[in-house]
Amino acid sequence: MAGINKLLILLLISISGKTFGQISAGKIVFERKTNLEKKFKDSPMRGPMMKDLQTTKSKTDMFELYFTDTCSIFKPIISDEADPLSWATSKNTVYQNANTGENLIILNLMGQEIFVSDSLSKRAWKVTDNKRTISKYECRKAIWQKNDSTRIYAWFTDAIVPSVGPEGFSGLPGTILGLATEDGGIIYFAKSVEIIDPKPEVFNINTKKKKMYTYKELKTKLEEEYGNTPWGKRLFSDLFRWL
Amino acid sequence: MQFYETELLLNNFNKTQKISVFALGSNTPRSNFGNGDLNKFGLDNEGGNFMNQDGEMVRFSSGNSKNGIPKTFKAGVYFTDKIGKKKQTKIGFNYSYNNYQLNALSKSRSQYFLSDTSYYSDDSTRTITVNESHTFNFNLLTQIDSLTTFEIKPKITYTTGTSENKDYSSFLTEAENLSRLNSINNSTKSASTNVQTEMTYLHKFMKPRRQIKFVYDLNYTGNNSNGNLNYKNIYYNSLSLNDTTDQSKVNANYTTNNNGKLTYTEPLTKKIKAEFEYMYENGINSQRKETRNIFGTASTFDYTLSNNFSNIKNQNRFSTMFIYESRKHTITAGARLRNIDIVNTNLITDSVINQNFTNLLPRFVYQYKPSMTKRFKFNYNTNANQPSINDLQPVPDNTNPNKISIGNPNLKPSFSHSANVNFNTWNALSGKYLWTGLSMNYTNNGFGNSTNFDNYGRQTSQTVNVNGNYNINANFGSGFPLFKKIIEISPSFNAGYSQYSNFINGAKNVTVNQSITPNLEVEFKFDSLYLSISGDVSYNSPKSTISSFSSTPYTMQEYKATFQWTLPWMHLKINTDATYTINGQRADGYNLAYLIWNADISKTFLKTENLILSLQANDMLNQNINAQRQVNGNVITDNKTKIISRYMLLKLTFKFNNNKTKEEDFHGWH
Repeated sequence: MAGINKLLILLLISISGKTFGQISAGKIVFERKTNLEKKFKDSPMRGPMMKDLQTTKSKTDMFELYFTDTCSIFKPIISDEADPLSWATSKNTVYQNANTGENLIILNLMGQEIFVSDSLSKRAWKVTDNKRTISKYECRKAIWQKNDSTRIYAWFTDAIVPSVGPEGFSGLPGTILGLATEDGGIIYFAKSVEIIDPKPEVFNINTKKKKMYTYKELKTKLEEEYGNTPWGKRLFSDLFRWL
Repeated sequence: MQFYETELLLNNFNKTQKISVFALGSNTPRSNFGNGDLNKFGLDNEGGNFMNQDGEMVRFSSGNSKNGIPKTFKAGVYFTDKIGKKKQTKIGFNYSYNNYQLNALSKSRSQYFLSDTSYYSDDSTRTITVNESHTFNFNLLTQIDSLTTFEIKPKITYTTGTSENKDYSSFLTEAENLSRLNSINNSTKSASTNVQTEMTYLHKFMKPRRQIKFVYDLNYTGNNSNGNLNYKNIYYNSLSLNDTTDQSKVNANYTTNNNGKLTYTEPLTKKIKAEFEYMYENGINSQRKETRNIFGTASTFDYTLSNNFSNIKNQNRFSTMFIYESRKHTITAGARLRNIDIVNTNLITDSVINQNFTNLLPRFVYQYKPSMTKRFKFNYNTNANQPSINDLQPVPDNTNPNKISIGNPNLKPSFSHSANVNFNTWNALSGKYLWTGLSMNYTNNGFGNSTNFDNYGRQTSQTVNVNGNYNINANFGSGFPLFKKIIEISPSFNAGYSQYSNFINGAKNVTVNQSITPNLEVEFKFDSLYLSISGDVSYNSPKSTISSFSSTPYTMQEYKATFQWTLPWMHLKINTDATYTINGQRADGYNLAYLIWNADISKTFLKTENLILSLQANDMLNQNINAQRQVNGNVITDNKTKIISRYMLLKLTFKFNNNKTKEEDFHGWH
């Protein structure tokens, strides 16, 4: 009997070790809320869009982030239900591999996929003492000054080890569970965290016969060809929002 | 002739209040504000766009500058504001005054084909029209609570007009010998009042996609006109048959229409919803036509050309629709069941014509949209039309004594099936696009003409039911940008095939019309330079069974070049365009080829570039003319109308705003 008890206690300790120790693989479901009024405030297309906007001020999209200690993939969860406002928000896929240094982003330009392959960007994060709990994990707030006029806020937790997050954000000592633009127009919040071992198929992306651009190449091409149009300028700010 | 164009647009914003004042006066083809300005200043009721009963945006052409020489003056004021504690009610009011005159001078040659012979007519027409209208629009849209909205839009229009029409025609035999001459003078004065109100109540329930909507439409029109007809008919070979008609005509027409529609939508599953609708319509119409023959100072009532009708229409309509919506597919299937009951009473003879129709009208739409830029759509629709009171009433209308129309009380309603297929796609990164479509329409008991001609070229016609009218239309367009989008090649085409029937002197005549119009445009887009060259050729081949001589194909070719050059350091912009049109295979004198060349140069001043001086030259070679060929069953008509040709304008534009910034033009999507 004592032998079995010792076995049970050992089992308990090993199980609890997995639950209360550091998490290095899993699946996080994010909910993103976009304030449509703020997003289309300056757009001349606002008039024709008014009818749709009158009834829906905020749009919710769902994403899932699968990660292990070496790679991660962030992709949109597309439901089969009709979505009349699907054009209003972007849905990108980001795959990162710490071993190979790969950072592959699939941008969604009006239903067309553009593959951008670049190196992992290094961001200068400023960690603050601000804390809040997201999805039962205690997170700290970090700020990234993107440019003169924009700041991005991220809440990360060190209970989940890999340096991953929504839209391929990384560089913090933990996983990002919350991400927001300074004006609160776009906010990502982790809704659930599942501690699982993601199947390798989940990280597969078909890159056969797909033209790869670097961020600089794509920016130059779009500026050359669409830079002169007013909607082209707005296209960049939406497409390159997180880059 | 002196040409002028003046425009004034003013906006004043005060928190949620906005007042716009506008005025436009011109005697050039520019009889309305540009779409950009209409949008920017919120002049929603001045544009050419309005929503029709099916909820689609339709454009109607502003002004008839292609049909003559216009003169326009319009002015008005728009006011909008948001009231209520939470600013949940939008109100708007506008008043517009519109004065429009058209002076049209046109010539035409028509060829009439009968089974054993043909004859010609040469017409010369001058029409002067003056229309003046006052319009009041009011609208209120309020958000009663987060789920309920109420909207009401009353509108009142008062219009007066005068029209003077002088027509001289000569009728020639097949050998082109003159058989008779006539002159028709018509002058009319009219006044009409129109009152409309549309009221919508929409309530959404807590359960998503469940909603109820009630729409009520009231429409009243009252129209009064009086005029004179003077008709002289001179027979070349026999003076004893000459006749003259002098008549005065009074028309009074009143219609009141009430329409109420209740629509309830219920979600059945996550992707399927059902819509149930009931509509009731009541219409009362009275038409009185009084024709008097004038002999010197005395006049007598002409019973054969006068009538007094009233009709009462009641319509009940039920419709059901099932709608399946998923991310990529949308399927709509449904049907309408309607009953129309019309009582037509002839108040002079006390006779009554009753009509009662019940129709089942199915409908089906399938759309496949795999992404924002690719779409395939299939649409099947049915429609039934009742004959109009003018087709039914057995009283002749001799506004043009050479062409008298009589009624047919035995007309059945028409029933048509239409189907169309569309596909379009656009690649955002390369800029390539393609659109293509095919549409078909088939009508049973369509409305056709049965015309009888006498030896002197006078016709009497009546509307009859014909079977087997159909048309098919195919179109295609595409764009291929090359070399980093500096060059764009856009080929497109449009093709049509139609068949319709009518009766000539009792014999059935089937007209088949085939047409194809290919088009190609090549554009060069540089930073400050733009060049476009395009050409289209339209080939039309009508064939009538009644006479093989009426089957001659005809063509029209149009070639256009546009050049724009901006010199920003000199604040200068140069635009020029030239269009060469060639009309071929028409009657002698109507095979017109003309080159229209326009140019303008503008320079901006002030740091904000809000002061613009421009010199504009239109039709520098003075060749503008409107030339058309129309084929109607057994009649081919070539027509040319005098329109505004060469004119120059020196324009000074000042755009001002409170912000001391550059006032940008609104370019819509681009």
